[in-house]
Amino acid sequence: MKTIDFVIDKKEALRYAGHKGDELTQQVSDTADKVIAGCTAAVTPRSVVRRCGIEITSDGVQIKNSSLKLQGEDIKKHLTGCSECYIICVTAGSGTDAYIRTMMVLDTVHGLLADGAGTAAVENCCDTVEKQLREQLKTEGKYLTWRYSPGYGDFPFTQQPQILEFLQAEKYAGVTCTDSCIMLPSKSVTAVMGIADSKPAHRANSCRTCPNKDNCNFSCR
Amino acid sequence: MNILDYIKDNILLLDGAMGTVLQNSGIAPGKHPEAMNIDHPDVVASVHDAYMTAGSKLVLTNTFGASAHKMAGCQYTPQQVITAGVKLAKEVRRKHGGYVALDIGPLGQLLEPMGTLTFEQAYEDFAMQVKAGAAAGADLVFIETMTDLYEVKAAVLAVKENCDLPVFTTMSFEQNMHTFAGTSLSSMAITLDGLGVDALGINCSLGPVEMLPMAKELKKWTDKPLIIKPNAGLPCLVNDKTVYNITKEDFAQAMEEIMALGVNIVGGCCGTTPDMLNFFFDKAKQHSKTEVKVKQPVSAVCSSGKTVVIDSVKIIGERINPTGKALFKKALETGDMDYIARQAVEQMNAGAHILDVNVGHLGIDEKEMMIQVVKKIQSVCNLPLQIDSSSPEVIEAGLRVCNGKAIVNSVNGEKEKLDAILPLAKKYGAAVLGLALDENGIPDTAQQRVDIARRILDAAIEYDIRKEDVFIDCLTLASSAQQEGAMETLKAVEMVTKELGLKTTLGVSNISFGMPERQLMNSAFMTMAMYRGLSMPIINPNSTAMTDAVFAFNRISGYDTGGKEYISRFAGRKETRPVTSENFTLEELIYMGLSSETKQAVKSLLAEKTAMKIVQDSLIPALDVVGKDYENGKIFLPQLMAAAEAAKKGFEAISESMAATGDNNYEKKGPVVIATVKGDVHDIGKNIVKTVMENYGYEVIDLGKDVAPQAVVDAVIGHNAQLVGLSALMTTTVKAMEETITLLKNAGNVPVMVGGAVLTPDFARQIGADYYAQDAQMAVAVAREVIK
Repeated sequence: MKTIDFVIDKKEALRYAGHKGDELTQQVSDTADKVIAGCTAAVTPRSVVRRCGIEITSDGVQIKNSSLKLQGEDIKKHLTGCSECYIICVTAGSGTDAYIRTMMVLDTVHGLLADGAGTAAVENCCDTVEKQLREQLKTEGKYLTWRYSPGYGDFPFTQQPQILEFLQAEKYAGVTCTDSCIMLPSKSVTAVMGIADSKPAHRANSCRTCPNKDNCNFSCR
Repeated sequence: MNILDYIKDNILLLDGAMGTVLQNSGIAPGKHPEAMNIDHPDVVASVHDAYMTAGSKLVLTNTFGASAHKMAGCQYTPQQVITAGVKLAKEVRRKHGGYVALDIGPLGQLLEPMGTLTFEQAYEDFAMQVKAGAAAGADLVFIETMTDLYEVKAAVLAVKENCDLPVFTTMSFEQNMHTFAGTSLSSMAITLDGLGVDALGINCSLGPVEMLPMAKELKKWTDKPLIIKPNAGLPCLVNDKTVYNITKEDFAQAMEEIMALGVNIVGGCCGTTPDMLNFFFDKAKQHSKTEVKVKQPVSAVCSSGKTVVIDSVKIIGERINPTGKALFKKALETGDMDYIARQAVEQMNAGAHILDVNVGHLGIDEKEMMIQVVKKIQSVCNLPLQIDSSSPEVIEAGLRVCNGKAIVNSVNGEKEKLDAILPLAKKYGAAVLGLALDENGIPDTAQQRVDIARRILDAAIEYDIRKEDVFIDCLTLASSAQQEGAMETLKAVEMVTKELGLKTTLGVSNISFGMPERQLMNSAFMTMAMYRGLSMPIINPNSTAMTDAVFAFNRISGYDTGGKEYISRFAGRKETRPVTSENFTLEELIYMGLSSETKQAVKSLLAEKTAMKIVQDSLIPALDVVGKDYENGKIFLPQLMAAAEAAKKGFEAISESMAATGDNNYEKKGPVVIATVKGDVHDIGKNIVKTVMENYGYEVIDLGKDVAPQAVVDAVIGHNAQLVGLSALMTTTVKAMEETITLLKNAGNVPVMVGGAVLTPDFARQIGADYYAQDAQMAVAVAREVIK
């Protein structure tokens, strides 16, 4: 339920809006600056973080003392060697969605860039939260894996409602889910990070190893 | 004794947490704690009993999540758990005395525009709960832990229209004094006070220490009895568990400070226990009820997040009105909500404080349109609204779906009109604008207009509407027809302001009707009127000179303390950049995404070329070049769209010129119906396709997002569409896409193209689509193939 420091990186916002490379017309660059400033004012970041014990089972990962079981081989792989994990929900808030709607009505360039800025904002908030958790674990001599979210690999994003309920995300961050498992406010993220006693062997959340790399528009190349 | 009589003379002690106490009862409450009303009534009753033994005079039933949506998947219906919950609480009450409140919490789904649940659906769900609770014999309804003012409004209306019980309402705020959904304390107080709740306040989320300044703020905005029901401090996580760590001593101390402000309905929320409350109640009982009145009579209106106090001159934007506007009329006829929403955003950005909304136009269903337009505007603009119609039915429809406190435009001195409109203003808590005229027309003299204004005020007070919520329009007459009329209007403004103490409005621009240099005369007249007391000029805020004059007036007359608003408006205002179109070709301007320059260039070209020729020789080829560069990876999406928007401005110049000359040799192709399918709320891709296709001359009927399959079929038949475009972003919503296609194919043989992140050409074929369009350029290619 805490607020989070964040910055909206222009390059990231543009990347989420579908831009690649460095070249940019003055007009798009100016609009991006304006929209990023507006979006920064509209974002009210909130997070819910829970640390939980886990048990790897034949078909997934059981969260101890709860009815939540994370499904799939990929999340099992992600949490192999961990006895605990963090489950987090981070949102840029409903004001961000309102800002994007307003910009979209002005025109699609403003809308597209505001949407990219909103995504960049929530991702940056996630980075902040992850960094804080990593620092905290360092004092315990433990390590953190990386953010693994419903929808990655075979970790079904239809588990989104269960994860939000487990976190009581509606109560603590105002995040809900539609019947089609879409989170609202739309610039929200849930993720699972493993807590390991030894340094994880490799960091595999890069685009190269993502199973969806062939049909992703946002690859960082 | 009725609860309302009880709180007149007594401090009302509420109960504390139910959920967190149930969690510690040893029986896991599971997904539906409300089911315990039937499965473990003794456990729930013991919690009520513990609170009443501790001194609570009112308990909330264990029905917080008994909504249709939250109870889905439970073996019991909401009605069953509500009936059981009220019954068991009443049995406990028999032993102790006191009151049983039907507890209503949030529905668990976000309402429009944040989510997909409609205001009307929310109302139905609440009405179901209210009817069940009232039938079971609850003494009152307690709506709590709300974060969205719109949801609260639906709930309050559901109570008022489905039972005779009193209603108490609390919302949950964060330390920034706003809820998650952005509702402010002042907006909550003003709106709920207007809707006639019996008590209002704050619960959950924070501890009593954090709520103290909030209670102070609330007192400024309402005289209603206040409720404070805090958590046991701020929650923190210890070993996987949420714990609240305030001591009972600290809780009681902070609560006593809150009570000293004149808060007389107090209790606890998450983390509080019977023991903690008992300790506090022992102290609270030593106090007698404190009446503290700090609220001054202020004229204020609000949206959910923005409160506008009429303590300086405030601008009412007049642009959402079809009178004399061909493009606006067309938008109403074709249901182009984005056009109307754009008028709202532009006025907001130009400096308007309140927006007038009038959608009266021959041949459209004004009531249905008012509902749609109010909802659409609220989704993109946070200004308070003024609902403007000559029909009481339309006014009621607009007030009902308006989130916040609106102004009704208008009544006048006719008794019939007053009797039709004032009850609506009262019911929905709106301010009311009265025109100083009656069945005999507009009086000539200021004195006669003031007499009518007085009549309107008296009638409003009879309907229990506060004086500060009555505004008077003293009526501007065209100076060209009645030169002496202007001074009478100004005199009336001054008299209404001074003698009646009411705020005033004027439709300013009437003054210059039929005269040259209209803006000059408008601006001079408005400044004279502001000096005589005009509080809300109704103007076109996009006219910079007019809006600037208001900001300057507020600065000079000292309303804008320290000149903050003046400075923030004018500091850094740059000279508009000179149009560079002479140095570049139209094609180059489009490529660079320079919108206003493109429009200017097209306007100049229209002097020498026909519209058709400009489209064929310049606009379309320019778009093709941009499209090709996009396909080849030379430019990317933001620049493609910047060019598309620039071209759109060019087309706008063409349509304006055609509308002016009556020339219509540039026929649109299509129409094409596009929609984001049911269950999906990601519509950026669809919006991009719309912009690009419109530029290529296609008439696009945009049904929006989360569109039911049948609605697509209806639109296709209704508009005789030549092509349908559907978008879906998630694998879960592709199913809805498939259903839509099946329904479309059963209804006829319109070609369907699909797009969206999870789709592939194969996948598209599998679900029965005729075409797969990866992006907007491909959508145009499909349209070129299908529509000859």
